[in-house]
Amino acid sequence: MRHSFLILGVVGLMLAAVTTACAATQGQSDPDLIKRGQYLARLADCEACHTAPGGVPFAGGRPFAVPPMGTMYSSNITPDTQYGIGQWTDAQFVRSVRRGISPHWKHLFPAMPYQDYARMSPDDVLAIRAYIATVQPVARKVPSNTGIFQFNIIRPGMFGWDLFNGPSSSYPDDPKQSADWNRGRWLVEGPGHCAECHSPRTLTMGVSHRHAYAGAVTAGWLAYNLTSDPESGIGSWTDEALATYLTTGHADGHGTAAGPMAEAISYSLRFMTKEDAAAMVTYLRTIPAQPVKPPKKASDAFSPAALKHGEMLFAGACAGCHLENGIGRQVVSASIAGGHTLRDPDGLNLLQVLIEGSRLTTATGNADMPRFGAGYSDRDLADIAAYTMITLGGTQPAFDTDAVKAARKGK
Amino acid sequence: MLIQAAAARWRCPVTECEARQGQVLHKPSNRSFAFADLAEDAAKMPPPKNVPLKSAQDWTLIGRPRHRLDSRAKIEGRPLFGIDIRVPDMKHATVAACPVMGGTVGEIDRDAALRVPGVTDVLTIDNAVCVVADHYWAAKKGLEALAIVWREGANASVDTARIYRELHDGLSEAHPIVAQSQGDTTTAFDRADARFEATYQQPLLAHSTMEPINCTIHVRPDGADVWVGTQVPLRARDSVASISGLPKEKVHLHSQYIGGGFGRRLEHEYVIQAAQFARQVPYPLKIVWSREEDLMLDRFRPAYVDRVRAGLDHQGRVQSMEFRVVGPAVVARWAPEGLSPNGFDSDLGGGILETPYTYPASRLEFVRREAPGVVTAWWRGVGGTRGLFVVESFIDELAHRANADPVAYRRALIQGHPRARTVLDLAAEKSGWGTSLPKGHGRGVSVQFLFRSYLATVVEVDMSMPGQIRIVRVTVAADCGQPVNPDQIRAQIEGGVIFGLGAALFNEITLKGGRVQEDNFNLWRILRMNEAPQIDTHLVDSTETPGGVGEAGTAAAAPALANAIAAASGRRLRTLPLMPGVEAA
Repeated sequence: MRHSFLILGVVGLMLAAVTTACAATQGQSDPDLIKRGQYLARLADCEACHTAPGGVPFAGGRPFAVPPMGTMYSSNITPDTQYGIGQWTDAQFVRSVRRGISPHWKHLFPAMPYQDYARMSPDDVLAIRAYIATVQPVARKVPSNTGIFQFNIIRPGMFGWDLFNGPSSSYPDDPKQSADWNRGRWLVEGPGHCAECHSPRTLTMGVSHRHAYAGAVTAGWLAYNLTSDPESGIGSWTDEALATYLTTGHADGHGTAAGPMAEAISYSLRFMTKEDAAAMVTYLRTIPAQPVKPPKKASDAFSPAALKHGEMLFAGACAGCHLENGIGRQVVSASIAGGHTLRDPDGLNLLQVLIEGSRLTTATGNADMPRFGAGYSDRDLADIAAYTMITLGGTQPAFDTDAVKAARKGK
Repeated sequence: MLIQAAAARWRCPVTECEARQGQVLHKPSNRSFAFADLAEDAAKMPPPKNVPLKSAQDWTLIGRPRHRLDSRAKIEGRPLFGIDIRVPDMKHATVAACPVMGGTVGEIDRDAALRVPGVTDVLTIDNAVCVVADHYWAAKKGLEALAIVWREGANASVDTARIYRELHDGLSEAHPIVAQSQGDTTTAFDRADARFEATYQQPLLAHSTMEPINCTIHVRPDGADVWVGTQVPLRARDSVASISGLPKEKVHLHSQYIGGGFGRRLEHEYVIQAAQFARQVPYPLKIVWSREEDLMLDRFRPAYVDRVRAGLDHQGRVQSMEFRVVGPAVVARWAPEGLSPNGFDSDLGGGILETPYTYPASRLEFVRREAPGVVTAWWRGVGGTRGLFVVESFIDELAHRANADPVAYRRALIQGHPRARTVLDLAAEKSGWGTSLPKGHGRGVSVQFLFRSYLATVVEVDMSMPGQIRIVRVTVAADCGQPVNPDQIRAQIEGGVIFGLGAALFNEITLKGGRVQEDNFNLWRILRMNEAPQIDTHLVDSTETPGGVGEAGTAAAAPALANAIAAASGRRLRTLPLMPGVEAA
């Protein structure tokens, strides 16, 4: 997960329990187990976080910046015996994934969503282990954490954090619901760990259950409301549109996944079976609607001349792929007319995707949005965004050029 | 000689014969021969010592607008350029070289590349890898699959800040090269009623030609063929001969149209690279660089820092002018014999020594600071583009300090160059200089004598919207001597102005970790058609010796634009590119 969190001042007592762990090695070379493990590893989206940008899969080193506190780096989870997890026992692996405690009884930081992964059974986790054992070992040390995260002294505080926000165990299926619904709940709240991004945080920076899936801003990107609310959530989406979006990253009239969601689809969701995708949709449909945020006052930052400027820049820099009417040229991911992103007056994701760009990997290849942040000024980007939002999203912008500055910093 | 051949054949006086439209005509009898029919006879005749030139009133071609013969082929997309070459048995390839200068190939996953359908081979040299395939897309996918790990070397620590820091350090160099010294600038400066000093900074620039670097080459034991767009065919041929071990006469270079040169095709390192790969395989190899490779592995217009100091009298008129240029000497690498004995690259005199202005005392110093981490080269307008931004910005600042009109101030500085005054007056008149402007608008002017042509340029900008520069109109007056094709002159000036405006507004090559960061047009912005201003070009009717115009417009753009911005906003921008400076407001 890529969310910010505050460190509790609670210094919890570390449990002094000593458990002798006997590694169960049976099944490590079982092809069916490995295949199931690969599927589960994809569901859990392990690769996205444990791979540095442009780096070797699972070799770690991806930065998680939490300004101003510092930066954490994901660990190397390849089978390498020196820098990876090659020497971990199965019990140690299970404890890390499901309880957030590393082999040396260090509490992991919740950037690793162990509180969600706890819903996976130990057998599920061991299947993932079996798959990761087949990954190329990489003898590469990841960068050390910086800021407060370089000091192990704060790790015991995670014990206290875990008390409030920590992992729950697997729970039984709800007999009143269908098998599909139960499978969907497991997918969404377990390995899919959707709430980590799509739910707002509590005071202790844990996932809010009162406003579950009501939407939140994560690393500068708005993770949308997934509740069944027809206006701000997914209530007006068809099942087909939802399933298509989840498995390909695009749905006509709704837009194309970008940023962290594009990553989730590229590394994870697109590998779901049709049955699992349908189950996920079934569950998402039943998340209670959360009230609509009151609409913001439209911005006065965009004069007719500014919109004319935005139109000119759109024609030059955007219309080549998106076309003037936004229906896109040649590939569906270029279709943006009416998109969800264009109907958020704050323009959070619109500005982010303009500045940072995005890559979405599908079964037919990569769909790339280039980054324009370093080539265009704040004024340029604000005007492009405003023009696009008004023209193709039918929405009056509520942001200004300061929002561009803020978005640049958010990356 | 053709006329003589015809007269001999007709046995008549040469005065009765006239050459026109590819034929020699016998006026009394209306008989004619085509030039081709006479060529063989003419070739046997001794060349005449004194050739009478046709008088201007008899000209039918020179001075009249003509369509280019190749316009139709270009519009129709016919295969004219190097990238269009197709030869039998040719294979397609693309390359990646270490993005850090001086680095070498570390690890590649050769097998992964070969698994890409269509990929047939992977070739390596010390600093680059080439993937060969049946078509470009397969080669590109194969190159990605290589997952190259580079050994980056010492330049991995180079960043843009270091480049600029080293240039600024050069301003305090105690022993500069003195390129020119006239009069006693030190005394004049010390005795001046007033003094003014300013420092200007210009960035690394890429050529960003429309046609990316490409070369098709076939190296065989008995000879080699090279199909390439180059401005230095003999250099390229000699290098291929050297690499392949073949004698020069066995290497045939088939020079092709260039899809934009701007100085990039004065380099031929890409031909060397191609030859190093091609000698490893028996078939013709067509190497095309990706856009990313073309931008990141360019040879860049150097970054420079210039300081100018002037001593002024009580009315603000120049008494002494001192220039210090800090930056690379491109000629030292490209043609070392072109460096002066004391180490000066005369190209750096463009705009400073080559100028319509006269100063009572002047001095030009050069501090050579070669750029770390990049190879530097010439770029459109060469030293003139670089120097003119400095001079014309500074003159404008002096005019402002003197409370003088920028046009009038320049006119007074122009001595002994009446043609410069003519173009300055013409540009002022045609641009409406002195007439009122809407709020937020401004006009800027620049005058130049470069490439033996005179230009004066006025740019009008609209800065009424905060953070935005809209170029309303550009007016150019040009005296390039006797025009040959006026339409072509206008086209070249317009093209140069557009090129120069885009670079001045947006462009800077930056380095981080030794790597160029601008890898495509989302980050390296080009002025687009819908952003282009109206450009009015007025040609002076002249019979002087023709000068160059292909690069003159480029040089004019940045100073006229910076001066217009100063007039519109009151803010003097001394660092290029200009747009970031505006945003910083």
